[in-house]
Amino acid sequence: MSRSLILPALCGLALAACKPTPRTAPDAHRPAPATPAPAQAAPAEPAASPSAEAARGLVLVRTAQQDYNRLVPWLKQEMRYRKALGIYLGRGLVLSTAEPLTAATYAELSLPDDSLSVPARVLRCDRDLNLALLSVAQEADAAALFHDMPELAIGSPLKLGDTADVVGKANGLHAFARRGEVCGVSGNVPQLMLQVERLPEGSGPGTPVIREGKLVGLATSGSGEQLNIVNAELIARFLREEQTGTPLLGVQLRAVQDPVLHHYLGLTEGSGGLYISRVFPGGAAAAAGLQEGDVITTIEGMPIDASGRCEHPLYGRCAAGSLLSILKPLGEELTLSIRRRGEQQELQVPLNRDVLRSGLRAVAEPGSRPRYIIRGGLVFQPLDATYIDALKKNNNTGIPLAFLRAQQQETKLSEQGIREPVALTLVIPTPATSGYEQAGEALVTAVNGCTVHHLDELAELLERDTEDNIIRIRINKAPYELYLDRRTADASDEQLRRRGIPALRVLSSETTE
Amino acid sequence: MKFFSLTPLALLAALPLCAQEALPEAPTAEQAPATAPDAVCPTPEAPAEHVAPPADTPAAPAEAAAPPTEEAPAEQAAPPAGETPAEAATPPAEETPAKQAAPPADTPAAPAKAATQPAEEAPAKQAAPPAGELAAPDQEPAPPAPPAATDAQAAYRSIVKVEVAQQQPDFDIPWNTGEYAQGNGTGFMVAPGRFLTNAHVVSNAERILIAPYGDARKIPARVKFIAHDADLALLEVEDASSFADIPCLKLGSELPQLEDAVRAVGYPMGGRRLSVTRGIVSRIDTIPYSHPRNQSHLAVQIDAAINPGNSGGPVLKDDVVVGVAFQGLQGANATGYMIPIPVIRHFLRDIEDGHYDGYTELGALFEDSSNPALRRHAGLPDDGMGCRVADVIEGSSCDGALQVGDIVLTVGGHPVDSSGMIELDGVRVALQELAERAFSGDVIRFELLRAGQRLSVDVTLAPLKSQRLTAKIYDEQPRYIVFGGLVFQPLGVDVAQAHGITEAGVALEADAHLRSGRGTEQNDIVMLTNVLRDEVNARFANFGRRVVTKVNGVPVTGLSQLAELLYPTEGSERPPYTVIELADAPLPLVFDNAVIDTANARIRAHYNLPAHARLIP
Repeated sequence: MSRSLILPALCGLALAACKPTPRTAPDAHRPAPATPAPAQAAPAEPAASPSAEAARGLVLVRTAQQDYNRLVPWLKQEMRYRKALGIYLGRGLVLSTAEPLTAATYAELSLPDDSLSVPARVLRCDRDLNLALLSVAQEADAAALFHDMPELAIGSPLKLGDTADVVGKANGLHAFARRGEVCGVSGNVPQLMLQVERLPEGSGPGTPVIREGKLVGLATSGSGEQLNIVNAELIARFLREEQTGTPLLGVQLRAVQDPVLHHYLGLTEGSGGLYISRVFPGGAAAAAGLQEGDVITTIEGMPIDASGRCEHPLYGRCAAGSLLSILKPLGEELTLSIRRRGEQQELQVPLNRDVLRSGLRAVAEPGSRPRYIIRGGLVFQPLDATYIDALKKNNNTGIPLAFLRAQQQETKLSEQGIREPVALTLVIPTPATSGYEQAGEALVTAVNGCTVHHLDELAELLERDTEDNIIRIRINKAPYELYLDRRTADASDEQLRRRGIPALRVLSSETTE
Repeated sequence: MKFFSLTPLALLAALPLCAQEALPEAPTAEQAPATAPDAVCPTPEAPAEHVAPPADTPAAPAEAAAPPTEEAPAEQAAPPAGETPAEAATPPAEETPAKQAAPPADTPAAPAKAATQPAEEAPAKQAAPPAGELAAPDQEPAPPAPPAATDAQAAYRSIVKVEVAQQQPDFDIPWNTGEYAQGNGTGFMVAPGRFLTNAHVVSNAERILIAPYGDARKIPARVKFIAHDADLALLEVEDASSFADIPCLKLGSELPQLEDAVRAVGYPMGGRRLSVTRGIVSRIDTIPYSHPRNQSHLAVQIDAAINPGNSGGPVLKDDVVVGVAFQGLQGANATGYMIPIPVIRHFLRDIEDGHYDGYTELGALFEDSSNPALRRHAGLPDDGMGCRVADVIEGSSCDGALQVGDIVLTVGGHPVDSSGMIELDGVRVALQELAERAFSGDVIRFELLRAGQRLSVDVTLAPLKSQRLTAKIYDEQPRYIVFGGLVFQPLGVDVAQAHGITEAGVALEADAHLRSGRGTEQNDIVMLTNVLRDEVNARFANFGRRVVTKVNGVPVTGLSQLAELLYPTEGSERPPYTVIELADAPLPLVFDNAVIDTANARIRAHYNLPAHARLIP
């Protein structure tokens, strides 16, 4: 994304601040004006086209993103500037894509011609569906921004072979509508692939897809002649449901395609299934009693064919695994038929995201403050998926052996009630850590003989008095035990504070101790 | 230092990065394509020729020439080498050098002639004419050598060119015969008919010929002892008579000092005659030996040029051998490395019992124990002594004797400081150096502080079996199994290299294997390395190269055991399916046993497999 974006963004901000507000309160239920504003009308477009009419509701979403550096948790990463389109739905709400708003530190909404920009507020964000809902940050700005925009209803979902219009404004000024055809399905959360004529500049993520004057899709990615769009069905669910995110079973699946394996698993002729090779602790599948070696044969009554696909009313024959995430919303139950050692069974699986809530697969909210403890120069952080992902991105040598060992013992850790495994991630050279320079990147198993179940507990254990004033920290690699002298650690902590580490302890993602 | 070489991450990763590159064992210097007559003729029969004759004929001459048999050579080569044999050989040497000094003039031509001779003829010819006869009686002495050079010239006569026809094993397609190559190195006589050289010069050798200084003939030799871990080998000629009047080189008794003047003598690239380069001792340090890949030993850095072909040649100080030239450093100037006397003597002593056992390992990791909190917790005074045991490998020498958390106070009577160093012969060295100098079966006493109690334990030293995983394999044919078109090979650095297996994919398995001290032939990490496409596996998903964990529910512990699981003996009951599980694979691989025998036969024919498996290297 272009850095120069910040300039118009800031100008817009200044503009918004000093511009007199034309109306005092936004009229959420105001009917859409019959004619487009003269300044935004594209001369070439037939004024009456319902799709071109919808282009009047286009807005620009500009954001600044800056997440924390998960490997040095008191630091932030470099700032990035992002831009997307959004579409006005009415009632002061703008629909856009989630990706540019992930870990956003600032967001604003602008008219496509940049004649007005106002600070924005993110109301909801679903990173799985890649949808976000925004409003203006200050109610007072709504009228100025939205006063000319029509309300837009959500249409009936698109299915394979349907046609719809991709709507945009070339150069932010000239409205256009291009007819496209749904030609396929892709992605883990299924998205439709829309084949369309070459689009003008300025139609990126957030570009709306309109049919009969209603919103039927939102483009999240794609270029030139093919857009990947979120279907109206999922947009409607996103707007309706309280929880965000798609359900996760917490399993590793693979379609059975080899005929010999098919026979071996006792599957019936002509059918297929999804083989479960792993069931992750704490997940929905584990809770429902799914086991490794089980084969899912039907999902909500839809049989899985020999190629691992299901026939879906909207998406046609599509990968059975991807349907698990969209067939029903969170909170409901999914009915699965499974074959276990040749026996057919039916199971109800609760739809939730529990697999991400604890243990090594826990995921921190992007942009949230990382939790950590620094004691005497030893840095402790939750050993979660967010940290491991950051490590993978940063490190060419792979995941450290001690962490691989922890992953191997995932189930055991979970059974021991270790809901938040804690790692010794960094060793800052201090008088207290002399000789321990190589001890970083290991799982912390115990402190003074007490098992560490989560970071808060570690914080408490590190402060608990010991006879000899020595804190013993057990880790899962050589030298297996580290010793920290409380007084030396105190002095080291003081030194680290003076060197500018803003906080030596962050136990809550929101506040600082 | 040595312990780290046990972690697979460090090791497998180190492979491509390895800065130390062995002097590309001559093959690169004078590589001959497989079409060269030299290389081709010894193909299938030559090995037999090599193995057979030495069994009867040369055995006798060897004994006759050098009365002491198996043990003696080492004895001779080692301490007494300096005095007895060399001294004894000296008087004749005094005369011969003059005679011998001439022939070099025409040698360049002679070897070329010799090279074209089929190898088979050589031994026969050798047996007939005594060595002396060929020594160029018709050559008039060239300008008489200056008197000062006499000793040097005598020394040069025992320095020989070692010409080796090699067959490199193919770890990618393990049933293939591999490439044939021709390489040269240098060797020198340490006992009558016995030559010291580098292991890498004679590794994977099909045929070894020794070309003496100033002699047109090439004399067949064989490897008597080889120490891949120390990159040393002792060769024995089938007929020692050619060398009867040639003196042996004296082996020095200790390390040279920094700045000592030394000469490297050998047959490096850039010409056919003997080359001498001169330099000084620049550094004495423990460095990784690139031939075994997973070993570090003492080495001496010199600034005399050492080039491919010098490998195995002596480095002399005042006509006494102080080292064997063995490797260089890529990207550095004027750095050559030699294997110093302590390592050479270690090899010679190890083989005294007629068998090379190899270096022993403690199998324990010692951590820097200067941290004040650690010392206070262990009850150690602030005197900088005592070192905490950080890790012990299961099944290693120290397993059962040392425990994690023990404080080592003394080793073999030497006080240990907090960084794990001891003083040996006035030099501070890592305590592992004791194991480095010891031999299999030796006992080292550790004095420990365990939970505040003082105690002594005895550690019986042994090599670490599981180190095979991280060592390059030489002189062995690759082991494999092919079943249903799936190719299984035991993991090792060669297999990893051939198939681009990174440590990330095998880190846990390799770590568990190394830490458990397993690693005998019966106990490997078996990898699926390739799939020979056939209708029985055509629908298998491609999971890449993975560790085989189970077959029909039985954990896989080694290649031979896997062979029993996949190819059960005749008559034993066979389940309807063979189910193969791979580490982290999303699906098992399943074969229908009703058609597997037919499929195996078909695959064997289509892919030209000599056998379903090679279980013994």
